Amino acid sequence: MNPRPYTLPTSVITSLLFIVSALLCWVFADLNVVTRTPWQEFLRMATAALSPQWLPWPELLSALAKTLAFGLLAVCLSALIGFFLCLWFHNRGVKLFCAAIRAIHELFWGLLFIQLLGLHPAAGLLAIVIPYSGIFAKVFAEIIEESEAEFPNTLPPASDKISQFFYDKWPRIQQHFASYTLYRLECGLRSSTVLGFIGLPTLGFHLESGFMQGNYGLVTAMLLMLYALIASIRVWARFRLMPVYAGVAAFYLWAPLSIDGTLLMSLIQDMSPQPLRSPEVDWWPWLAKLTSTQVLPGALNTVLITQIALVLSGVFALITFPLLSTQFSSGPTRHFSHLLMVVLRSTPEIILAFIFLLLWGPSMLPAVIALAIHNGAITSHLLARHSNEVTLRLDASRGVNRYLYEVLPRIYGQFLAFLCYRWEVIMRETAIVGILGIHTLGFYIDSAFESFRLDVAVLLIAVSALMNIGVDEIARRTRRRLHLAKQPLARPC
Amino acid sequence: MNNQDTPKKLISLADETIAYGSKVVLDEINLHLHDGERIVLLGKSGSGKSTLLKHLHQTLINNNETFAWIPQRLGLTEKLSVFHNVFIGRLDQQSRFTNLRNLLWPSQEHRQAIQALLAELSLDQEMFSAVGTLSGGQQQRVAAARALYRQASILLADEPATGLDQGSATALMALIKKNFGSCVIALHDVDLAMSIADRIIGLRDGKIILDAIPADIDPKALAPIYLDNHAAP
Repeated sequence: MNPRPYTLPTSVITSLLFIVSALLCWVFADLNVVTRTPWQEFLRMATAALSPQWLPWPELLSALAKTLAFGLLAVCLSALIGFFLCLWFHNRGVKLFCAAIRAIHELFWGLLFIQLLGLHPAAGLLAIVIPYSGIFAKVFAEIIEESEAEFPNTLPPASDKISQFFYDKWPRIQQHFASYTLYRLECGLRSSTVLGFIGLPTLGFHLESGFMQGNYGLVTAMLLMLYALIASIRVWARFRLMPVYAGVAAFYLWAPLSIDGTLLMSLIQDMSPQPLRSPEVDWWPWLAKLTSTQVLPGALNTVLITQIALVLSGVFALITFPLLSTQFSSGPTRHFSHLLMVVLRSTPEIILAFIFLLLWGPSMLPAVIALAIHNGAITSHLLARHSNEVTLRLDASRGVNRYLYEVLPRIYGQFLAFLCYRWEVIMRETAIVGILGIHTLGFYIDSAFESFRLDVAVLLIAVSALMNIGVDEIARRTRRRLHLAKQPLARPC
Repeated sequence: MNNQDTPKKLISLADETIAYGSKVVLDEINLHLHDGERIVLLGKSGSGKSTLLKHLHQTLINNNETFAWIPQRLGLTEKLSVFHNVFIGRLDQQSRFTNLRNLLWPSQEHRQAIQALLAELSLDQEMFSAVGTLSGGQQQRVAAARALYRQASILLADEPATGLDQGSATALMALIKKNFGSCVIALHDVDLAMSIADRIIGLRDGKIILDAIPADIDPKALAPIYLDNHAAP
């Protein structure tokens, strides 16, 4: 009798489907290098990187302090709100609400609130707090769920809910809450930096002007400050001190907010679709024109970039993780690669995209490469950590054979799970790099804000949110089909 | 066996002591493995068999010998098929290209060779099943198949018959006997040991307390090896 025929494993077929979709997108995507002299610009950047140009110190300190204050206060508030939301997360409405608020990138929230409140600190805070609360709620709910699956409740069954919470749930999840909140701080500092791109007085503000003026020395200095800030987190961040820090940050950022009621009302009115407000505009022509000129092209470009960047980030991770893994690399190689990867993943993707945009000109290429590198570096780090936990037998092969036959098969499922998690993140980020002029949804959203067409902006933001929720759902189904672990090792932003 | 010349010594340990901190695991071990010799190590768990085998593993590597290895914890790649796990036995003897190609799509040539080998271990039906889905006994046979596929003349094996029924264990021993000229095998089943060994070495608390050919062994002489072990076979 013959054995049953050989078939490709499901994980390989899934990967092939991803690759085919990326290749299809490649055909339709505009990935040209537009500039004539990319190397010349690169040389200018590289020389500037060696001679950072610092701001006058009062300005520098203020940018640093504001970045820190926004990040800290926003993360603390979101953790608190997320914590309360997670207690009701079994409710479908709450779940949906959280999915909706986290599907909108903080930059879009920022654009919206700056429109409503002006450049007031509250706009920046709300921009981070709203999506982060949704993320915190989801992650906290997952932590509780996992812990309940692992150690079922042993309290007397008739105990009241509040006692149950404080005697059972809180003690066992407290540590995870703390570590996730501290971890999220890193993301918070990045978000707060990036909000500078749309006008808040954080490091990103000077970064953007540095880019615009071609003053790469300033860019380098601001980036170095950001790395230093992120690297310093582990020195000062303590969960118990967070309320104190948050208090100081709130005091520092405090500014009286004077809201002009009539202006606000008229702005909010402007957000409702134009056909609702002006009877002379008909629904169908309005929608048809918007769809064909903005929604469809924006959504299509977003999908094209997302799919290519997703596959490239996977390729990047698979190629680079051996450099970080004890299975393949010796100490010095690992340490150097680790440092490089930390820099790559600490640099917000919109900044990477800006750099590549200056090098190669406005096409989809800068966005694709920036997203692939940033997300690839994160995945690579996670894969390396995962591969370090594999114990091999004494006679395990070395080099390429070890990679192909021993390590890769053992971690491939985890790799696909990581990629599925990155999928939604990449799509969210693809939308926002549009702010730099790449024609994804973010480009149209930004233009709508600039021309005060708030109704169009809100509609486009809703479209991008729906796309993110959709891709999140597809990723969830893919993971389930592959029987992949529910939660990978870490939950990176 | 070669009686004309003195056979080559593959392994030669003289007064070898291995200690982890103050804990001595192997105490002044003298052991020589000649080409064409089959040694069985007997001893209860914790007697030092596995440590000794790992030490022999390192010694053979230092001597640049090609050999096959069946560790106690099999270390199979569970996500890969039986075919691929057996194929791993020869990764170092083939080009990277061949290895990559067969990882994605096994070639006809290798399928035939491996299927024939698996048939001898009654595993041919499972050739393309993922190893993680097999039973313990089946996985044990996959590990043996990998060792056999390696086509080395020397074998180091740590309890290769664990989880196998009487029939499969005997069949496996016969296969090992047929394919490996020289071997050092740790076993706990005395009958299996007698069936394959040219020499039996008994270990207790890291010391060799018996070193004899099977014909000379009085079953009573084996008792001290298993002293304190109520489940002695």
